[in-house]
Amino acid sequence: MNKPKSVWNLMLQRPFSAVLAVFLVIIQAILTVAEVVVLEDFIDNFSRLYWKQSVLFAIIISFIYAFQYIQSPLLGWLNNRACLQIRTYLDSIIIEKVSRISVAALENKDNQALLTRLQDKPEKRYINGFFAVLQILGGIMGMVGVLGLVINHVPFFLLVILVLLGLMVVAFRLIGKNKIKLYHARQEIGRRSDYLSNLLFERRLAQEKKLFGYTHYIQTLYEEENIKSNKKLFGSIFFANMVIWVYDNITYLFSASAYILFLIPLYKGNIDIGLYIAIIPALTRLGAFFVSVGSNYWPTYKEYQACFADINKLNELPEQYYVHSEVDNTPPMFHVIKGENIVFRYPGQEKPVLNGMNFAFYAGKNYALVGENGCGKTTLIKLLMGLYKPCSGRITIDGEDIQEMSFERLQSFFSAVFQDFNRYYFTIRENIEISSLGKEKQDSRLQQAAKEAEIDQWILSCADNYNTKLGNLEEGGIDLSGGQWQRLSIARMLYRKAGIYIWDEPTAAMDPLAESRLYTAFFQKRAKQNANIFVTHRLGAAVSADEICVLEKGRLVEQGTHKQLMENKDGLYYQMFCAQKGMYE
Amino acid sequence: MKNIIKALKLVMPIAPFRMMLYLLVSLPGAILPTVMLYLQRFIVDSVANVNQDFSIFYYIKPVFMLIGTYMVLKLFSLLSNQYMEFGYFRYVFMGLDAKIHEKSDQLSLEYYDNAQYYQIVQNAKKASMFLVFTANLAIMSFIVICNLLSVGSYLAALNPILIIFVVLVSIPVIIEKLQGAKYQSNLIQDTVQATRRKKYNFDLLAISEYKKELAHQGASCYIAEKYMESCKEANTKEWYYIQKMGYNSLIFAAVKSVFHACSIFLMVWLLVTGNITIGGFSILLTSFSALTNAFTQLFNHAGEILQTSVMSTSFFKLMDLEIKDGEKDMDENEEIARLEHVSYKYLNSDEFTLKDISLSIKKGEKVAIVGENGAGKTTLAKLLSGFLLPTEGTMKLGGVSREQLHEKSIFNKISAVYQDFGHYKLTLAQNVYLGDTIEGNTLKQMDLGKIKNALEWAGLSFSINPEKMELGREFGGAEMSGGTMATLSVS
Repeated sequence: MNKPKSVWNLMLQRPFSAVLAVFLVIIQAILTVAEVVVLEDFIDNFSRLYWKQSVLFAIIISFIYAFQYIQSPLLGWLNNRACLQIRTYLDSIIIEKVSRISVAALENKDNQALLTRLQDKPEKRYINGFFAVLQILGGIMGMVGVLGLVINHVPFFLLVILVLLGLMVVAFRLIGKNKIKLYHARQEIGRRSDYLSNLLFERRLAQEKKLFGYTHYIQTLYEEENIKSNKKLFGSIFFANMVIWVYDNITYLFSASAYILFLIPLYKGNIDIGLYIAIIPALTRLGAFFVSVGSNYWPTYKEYQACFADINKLNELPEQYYVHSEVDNTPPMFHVIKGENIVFRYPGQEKPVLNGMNFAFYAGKNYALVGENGCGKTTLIKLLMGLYKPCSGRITIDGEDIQEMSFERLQSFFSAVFQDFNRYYFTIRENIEISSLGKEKQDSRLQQAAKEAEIDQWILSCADNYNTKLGNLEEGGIDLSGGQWQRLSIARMLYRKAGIYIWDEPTAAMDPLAESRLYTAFFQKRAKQNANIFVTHRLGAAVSADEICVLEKGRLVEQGTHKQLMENKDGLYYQMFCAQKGMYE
Repeated sequence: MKNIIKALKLVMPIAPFRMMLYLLVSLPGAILPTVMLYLQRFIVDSVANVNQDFSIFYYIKPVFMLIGTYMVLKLFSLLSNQYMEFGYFRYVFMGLDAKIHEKSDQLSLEYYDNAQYYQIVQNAKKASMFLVFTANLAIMSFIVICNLLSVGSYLAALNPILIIFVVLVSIPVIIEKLQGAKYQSNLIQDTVQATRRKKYNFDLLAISEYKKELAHQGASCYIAEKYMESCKEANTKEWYYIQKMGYNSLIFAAVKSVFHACSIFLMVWLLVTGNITIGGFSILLTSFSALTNAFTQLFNHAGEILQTSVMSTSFFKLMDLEIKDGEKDMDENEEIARLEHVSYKYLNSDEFTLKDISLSIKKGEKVAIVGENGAGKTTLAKLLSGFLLPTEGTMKLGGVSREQLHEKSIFNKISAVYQDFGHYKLTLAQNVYLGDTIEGNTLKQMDLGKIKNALEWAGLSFSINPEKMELGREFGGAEMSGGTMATLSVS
């Protein structure tokens, strides 16, 4: 992604909205001054006998008000229009970047918070930032005009304005940082309580929720979270409000004291009664403008800056992606994948998940990774595929370090199905073809994959065959049982051509016998140059593998065929197998 | 209108004391502006009429009264804003959420399985926010009315005809708002599908569990395209409404300016004929705007109330969903379950998932249900564990017909592990505690010893304090492998 564009850049690209908005604001500033002048003139020269002059005044003032009435819907329309344009731009750059961010970066807490912020209408912050600056400029123009009218007569008023400006800067400093912190804090806190509340609505959890009856408990946690955040935010918001209040009062003190200050030049004859009457509402409005700069426009602008900084930060996140449709569909050949002394720990954790692991997977063989829960099987798969980087040690394919390979080349070796495979709420065809979005799409290949995953009969029984929509995202989408989803995900893996097929326990919802049958059938059918690695904690399925790798506490402790491993009566495999034997008898 | 009353009836009793306090704090904001108008007029009038023999001290008192009033006014508005957000709003919000949480708990599982009903459940969550707005708007309208009465009485004292103009200027606002509300709700309805699709596709790319498969297969780009398609769809629809709304509000602005012009002519005429003083005239010019603003605000509120009441209907839709729950408890019976000619059809579906099933399960029996994928195993299991009620035929659990059974009493006797067990991003201890939280009607004390026992039984003895360990890496905790999660679910 190129460098993200600022709001100024974007508005300059579409000058119509920008020019019209600037024009409207300038007219507004001129009319503010004009109103004072016209009212002054009218009051000074008012005489009951000369009615034509009164009519003229009424017409002019009416026009000024009419402009104000029409200006606000026009600005509103411009705002909406520009907002939509900016959204189109931001949507496209954000999603493009998000689609490229590496998996490891997505697991970071701060990055997730960043993404949440960027989903919260960034275009509004952009456009509001633009209009805030515009309002400030317009207000300053009006202020200069109004001051121009009186400054000759009351020069010390300039001093008052300067003092107010100085105080404004102080107020900014006090509030500015606070506001941004609050903006972040609010979203962070909302994320947590939203999560809790959503648990109670989650369709997946509905059954467990009913069974365990934990609604009451989650509700308590939810309330605690809310009250905690209430306390956390209360103080800082109160502080910001107090600063504004003090500043507001000082400003009003000055503009109201104009009633007295202007009496002196009035009685000296320097200004006339018309100006005295006309100027005071104008000054009050000026004061109100000062206050809204501090309480509204400036923080809005700051929020835009924070949002722009967020988008830049997003742009810096590490990428790991490729586009499959540009890739040649024949998988590269390989001989051996080796891992030497692999150590890995998740960020923020002390205990390593993998602790000095060595392994070698050869082409043409079937490997089973077995071990207790939490022994590092899935983590090993993620490292193998380059989704995580090992803390130390290296993984090589035919001697070439995978860290030095392009992500695209590395992925072309593999086709994997994960334990928490995706359930795409698209059509069945898309669900399978997504694993290999090539130019050549063959129905025969699709049907072959479905057949091998033993789901083709079911698909043909659906109303629209392969074009049946799944999930509850679209009207008419059908939901699948857990087992059907699993078979679909296996079909997806098989559709993709690769040298190494990885099965990370995709068969948990199948019974052990069906699982075993599926593996055996698959091993016989597949080409000899392929390797299969499958993760399981059911040893019955592992029996048919050429090599069984037993993992314990992040290390490879035993390796061999079923027969070999069973001979070692003290071994972990033997013990595990004996414990699970009952399942198959 | 019915909706609004319904909404108010629901929201008002949630935190009545807080509401009264909020009203009390807000009231000065309604009355003090009129006091300021009187003071300003007094000052201007006296400056305009007094001759050479003036003393500056004569003015100091009213000017400082003016400033003092302003300070008090602003202080109260600050307090009311602060109290609104922290003292009132959030409590009402929590109250409403508690209601929908409770309701979602009682809903039968059928509603979760059906896309259309599930939509209602999800929308209700958003609707609760609109309900809070409705309540707040009602309060604000009350305050604006107080403001109108006080400023209006001031204006009426000068000339009653002006009031008519104020109303005339404000009337277009309400029509505009009503139309706007219609457009807005149409827009939301039109784009709800696209918005959901957008969110779904974004999550696929932004959540690491989904992303890893997409990154591996090189399909992220495909999902991003899908996302952009939904964006385009939503934006096209929005643009249509923006045009319409912009056009409308321009017309209404023109109408408003004509009425406002008439009122200015009237004021000038009043001045020319000597009915009002020059000071009165200048204040009229400003106070007229203030009053029309107040009216506009009131109508704005009214329009927004209508708007939000439309949005909040999905809350009531959820509340009105039928709950099928009996009152009887499960008896101790030899026959645990008995099904006679039971058929089951999911909501809004044409086909029966289960047809004419009869079976009986006795105490001490072990029963296995086998069959092809999609044959209805899970549905039957859901029926047997009391989550679903049969569409046809009778089912007795523990000798009592399912229709008459109290849901909670079934779940107290059943334990199960599912294909899709939950991953909860809570602490380890909380994760285990979730399985058994209720005793009677109150929350149990979290018993750490018991939790540790359960964890050890499941083969998870962590050296870390289970109370501190957070699950779910996104919240900064440590993630455990899926298998570990499964074990947790068992305990």
